[in-house]
Amino acid sequence: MGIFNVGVSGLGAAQAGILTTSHNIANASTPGYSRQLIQQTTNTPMFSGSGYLGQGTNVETIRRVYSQQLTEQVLSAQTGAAEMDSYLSQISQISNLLADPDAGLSPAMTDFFSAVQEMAANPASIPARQAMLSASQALVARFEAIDQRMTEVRTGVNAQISSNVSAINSYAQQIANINQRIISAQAAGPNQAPNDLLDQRDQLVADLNQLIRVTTIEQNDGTYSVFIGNGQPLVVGTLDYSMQAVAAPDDPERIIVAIRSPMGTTVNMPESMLSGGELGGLIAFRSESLDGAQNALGRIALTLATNFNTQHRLGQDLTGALGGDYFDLSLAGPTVRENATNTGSATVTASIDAATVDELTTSDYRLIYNGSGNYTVTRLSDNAVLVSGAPLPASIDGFSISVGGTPNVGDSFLIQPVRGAATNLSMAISDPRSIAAASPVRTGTPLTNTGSAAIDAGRVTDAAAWNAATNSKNLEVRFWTDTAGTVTTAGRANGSVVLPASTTINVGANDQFAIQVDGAASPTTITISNAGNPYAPANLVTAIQTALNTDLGVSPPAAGSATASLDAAGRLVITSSTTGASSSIVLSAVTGNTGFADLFGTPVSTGGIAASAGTTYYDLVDAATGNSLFTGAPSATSAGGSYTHAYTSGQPITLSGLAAAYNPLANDFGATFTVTGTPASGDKFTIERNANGVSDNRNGVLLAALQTQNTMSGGTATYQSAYSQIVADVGNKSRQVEITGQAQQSLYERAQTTRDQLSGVNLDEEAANLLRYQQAYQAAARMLDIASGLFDEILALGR
Amino acid sequence: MRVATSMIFDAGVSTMNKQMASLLHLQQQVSTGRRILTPADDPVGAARALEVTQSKNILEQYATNQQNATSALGLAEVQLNSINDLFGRIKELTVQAGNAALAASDRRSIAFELRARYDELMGIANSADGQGQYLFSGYMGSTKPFGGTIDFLNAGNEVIYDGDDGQRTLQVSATRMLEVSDSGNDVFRRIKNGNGYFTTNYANANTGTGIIDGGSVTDPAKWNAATNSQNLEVRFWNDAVGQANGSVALTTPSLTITTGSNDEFTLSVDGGAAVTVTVGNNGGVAYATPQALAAAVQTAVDAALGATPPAAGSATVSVNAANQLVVTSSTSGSTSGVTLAAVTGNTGYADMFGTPTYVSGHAGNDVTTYYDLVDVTTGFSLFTGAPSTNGNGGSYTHVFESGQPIEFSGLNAAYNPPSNDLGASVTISGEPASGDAFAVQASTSQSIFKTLANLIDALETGNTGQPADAAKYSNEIGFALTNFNQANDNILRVRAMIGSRMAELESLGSVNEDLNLQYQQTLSNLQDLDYAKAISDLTRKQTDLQAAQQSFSRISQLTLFDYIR
Repeated sequence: MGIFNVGVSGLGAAQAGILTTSHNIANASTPGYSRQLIQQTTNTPMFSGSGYLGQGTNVETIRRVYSQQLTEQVLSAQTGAAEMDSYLSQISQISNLLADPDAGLSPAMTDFFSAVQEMAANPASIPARQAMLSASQALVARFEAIDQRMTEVRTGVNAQISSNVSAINSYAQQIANINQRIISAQAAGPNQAPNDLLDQRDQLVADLNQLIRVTTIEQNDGTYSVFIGNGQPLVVGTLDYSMQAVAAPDDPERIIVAIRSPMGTTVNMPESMLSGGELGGLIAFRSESLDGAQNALGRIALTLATNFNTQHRLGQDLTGALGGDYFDLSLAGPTVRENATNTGSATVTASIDAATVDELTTSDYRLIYNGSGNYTVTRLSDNAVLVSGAPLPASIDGFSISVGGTPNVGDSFLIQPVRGAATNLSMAISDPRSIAAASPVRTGTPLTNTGSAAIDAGRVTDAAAWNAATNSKNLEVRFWTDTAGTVTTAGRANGSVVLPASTTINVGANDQFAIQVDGAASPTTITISNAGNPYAPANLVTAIQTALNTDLGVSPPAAGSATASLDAAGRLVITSSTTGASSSIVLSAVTGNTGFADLFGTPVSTGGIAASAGTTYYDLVDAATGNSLFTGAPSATSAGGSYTHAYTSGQPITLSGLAAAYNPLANDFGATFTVTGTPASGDKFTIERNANGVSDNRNGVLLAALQTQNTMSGGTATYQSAYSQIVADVGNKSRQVEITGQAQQSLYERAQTTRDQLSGVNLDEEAANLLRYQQAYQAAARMLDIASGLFDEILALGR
Repeated sequence: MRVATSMIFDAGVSTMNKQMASLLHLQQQVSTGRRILTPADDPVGAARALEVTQSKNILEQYATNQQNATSALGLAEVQLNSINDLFGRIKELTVQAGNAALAASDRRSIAFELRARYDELMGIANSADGQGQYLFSGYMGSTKPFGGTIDFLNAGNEVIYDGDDGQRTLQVSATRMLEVSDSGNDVFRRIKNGNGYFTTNYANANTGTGIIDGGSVTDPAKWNAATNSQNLEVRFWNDAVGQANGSVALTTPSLTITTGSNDEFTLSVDGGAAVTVTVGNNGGVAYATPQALAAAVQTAVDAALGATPPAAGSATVSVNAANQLVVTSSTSGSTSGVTLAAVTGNTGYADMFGTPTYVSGHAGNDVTTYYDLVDVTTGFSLFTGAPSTNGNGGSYTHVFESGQPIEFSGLNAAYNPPSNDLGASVTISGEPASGDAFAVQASTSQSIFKTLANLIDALETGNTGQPADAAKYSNEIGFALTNFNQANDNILRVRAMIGSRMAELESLGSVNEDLNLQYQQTLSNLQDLDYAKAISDLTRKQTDLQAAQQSFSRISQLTLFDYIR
């Protein structure tokens, strides 16, 4: 070899050094570029007698300064930051909308209820009614506008998912291509790494990772396999699996991601597998925030409108007609979406239960047919199974589900009870007179009442029942007290015949009468002695008393005995020895008497009154016919009559439990009222149609009161607090995403810095390297010069 | 540490970005004055602010309702106040009309003015608010509530009321529904006449000069006792006429009385000679009732005395409440007397009189007027608990003295035992004639209009020529005054209610203001920006950013290449 060779090897190495340094300088700003270094070693030395002689240098390889671990750290932080970034940019759109002091729902709702209040204060005023209609229209429009905006955001998310999927596919393809080139390159130089290709591939993986979190595994042949989620392959060697954005089978408005294997089969990917990166952020935003917010808005619209309608239907409008629906909910009800893969012919219907509307949640529901007529219904928000293998129809969470047609096993349906409500809500009335501010019922106090009782204004609880054809709407509640005061009186019977004080009475030889004391089962026959004939009335009484004592076997005051006496009018009176409600005397004549029959004539029997007596009873009477609503027969005041209900002051009296003739099946007129105080026997109150009640605002006040009633979330929230809940939820989520995003960003910057510390190009360093290799080159060249000089010396020897 | 050139640029840009972002946020806060720009800034605060805003708006609505309520109540108050003035005038006229010396023409001119006042009252009762809604028609705001002319009322009708009993309400606080109207029934019609418990009246047939006052209830519980039919009468009888009544009660209705074919008794009237009265046997048919027998006896008495009542020396046969036969002289005074005696040999008649009781007539100052308290429903005397019977031995046991209160106490054991007291008294002055009666009956509702119409009727048709008529006129004036007092009390009651509602509104208003301030404060704490802090932050961030920019431009200029020549 010799000195020339050594010099040339030095020149070559320096040249390679300068080239690599220049490459570094040129790529200082190339994303993903790892600085390269030449790896220089000495050539194999030559053995001589005096030892090994160095044979110069050579460049073994050019390596990139690279750490797999640091790169993975960057990837991991980067995908998290990208996810939060994309989540934040979406959620801030609705976050700003909801709490806007002018554009949010709050001001429209407040204006609406203010208008209702104003109308309630001036129920006969057409301008006030018109203002309420306008405010309602504005509320409906605001619901629609906010929902529309959310739908726009949803459409935007769908579009971005699609474009992300295209980008992911493009990156996957490029990675597969580079894998191919790396295989070729490594085939050409098995021991030399294709540094720039590797960097390019790393950069592609980083770009892909911005869109979705991926994991990579390096194969033996130097290729990368790229996986998403829990090992779903995206790139394997040189094969790429393309992703597709498709409509969800049970919700055409929802774009989801499917993956197609090289063999051509397509599988829908569960959303849980798509995490990280822009795509992960979009999908998380949609399922965590957008669905919930839009459903919550729909729920407020649906609950408010349903409650308002329910109350409005209990009212009466300015023309005297019963209130109808105020809001039109015909299009705003639950949406049922049939899964596109269903094979059966079943149709599922869901409808809101007005009575339990407060139980509505913000979740969607999935119904699956299990066969044998059984279904499973799952609430998607918490995966609670609400109907577990049971037949339908069923009522759950404020709505009912029913099925028509024939499903096949496995058929599924998505039920969205509240999703479409906000945008599909509309007004049902446009005529200001149709606002039902009044109550259909009113009560009146006749001037003839003498008691101290007062009746409240009454209210209708079921407008249809109140409006039944069998209701004359001209009713009365009448009171009767079985006795005034709390007198304890014995039962008695008095004859209708007045015994003449100055005449005498003859009794036949075997004159008898029959008596039942205190409700005895069978009558006892009393035989009066005619020994004292003719009797003066007082003596006759004594004779009868003796006979009573003998025949009853007891003397007063023993129980079961009776006392005979004359009253002020000269009539015979038989009185029981006991007192109270069971005390009674019943007299009857016995035939065959020769002188006795006339003494009693037709006796009048009176039952005893118990000490607790003085109970006031009431009857509900149709004043048009005078019939009792309880019996359907003419109202009658007696213990056995139609005054069958005991009166308690302050206890609501409902027009229910009526005779079969009144609103059959229900036997209920759907109204209630309360009487307080003490009515006198014979007092009554009227309950009638509120004819011409244009200044009545009772229903209007109840409509306005809905604003502050806890009518949502199982009776725990007002409309406003439910809305505030959305704002707080979205706000909290935004804040959480923002803070997590900042943390991820810092993490990413730190990881990037650490990687750059190792792999990044420092221009000063490269400048120094440049000088170093320049000097090495100059020195090697000088070496050749010297070698050439040496050779010249030798040549000069021969001259 | 090894530093890559790109790190200098990346770090610099990243830092400046962050500074810029927080500067922008601060700038937005300062320019809007709001601490919370998006809910993310303070999720809890943002949600709370929405709720507090609603509470504040509701409060403002209540304030509006309170104003509405105040104006509605004020309107009613003005109308009722004018009724007060009107009443003053009506009472003045009524008192004036009570002057016995007034001529019929004077009374008519008073009536003329009262007719005008009636129309004025009707106008007030039918008054409407600014929107044409009637004040006193209940829920029926568009329905004119009151109608009916004086003549219509004097034909025995009550005033026509087309409204209802509805009371309009407004929500003036979270928990208070305030009544802002009172129904016409309540203001003008639901007024108890008389003294509120009972009303007094004279019988049309009265011939004496008794004048009854409104009476009073001393113990409402006693008056309301179950045994009080509240349909009572004070009846008068005097002993000016001689009378004999039998001690035998003729039985009724199922026993009949048979007289013999020639039954007789002797009768001496006003001290005259005894004549024998022969009663026919009705053709052998038993008399169905004591009255039928009395008619037969009357015929026999007329025949025997040769004179028919009311001629002097004649006698009247009647049946009293106890079914005893009574024979009364046609004259009154101390010589008035009837003597009965049985004649032996009667075959069916002796029992009719038993042992008769005699009363001689009294003359002039010796005549004593007695009264009985009677339950009209049963016809029983409250003193005896048996049918009311006048004459000697009857239930007219209490001596009447003009102007002395007649107490409904010391009654028979059947009436409100054990006190036997109905807790009421009336005062009758003047001289009631025998047979005169005054009713004491439970009060009923009587409208202001009816009271006024009754007075006008008395003024227009009243006749003071005869003492008895003058007494009736005086009675009517007295009743009118009593009833006007009741009406006035009712108006005052309604006004007091309106006044207390207005007072409540005032206190609610100040509570509202306090609450409003509270909400304003809370809202301000939640939403408003602390400017001092924000501007100081802004300045600091600005300095930070400038420092970052300057240092970046310095560092980024450092490069070794500058020194390679």
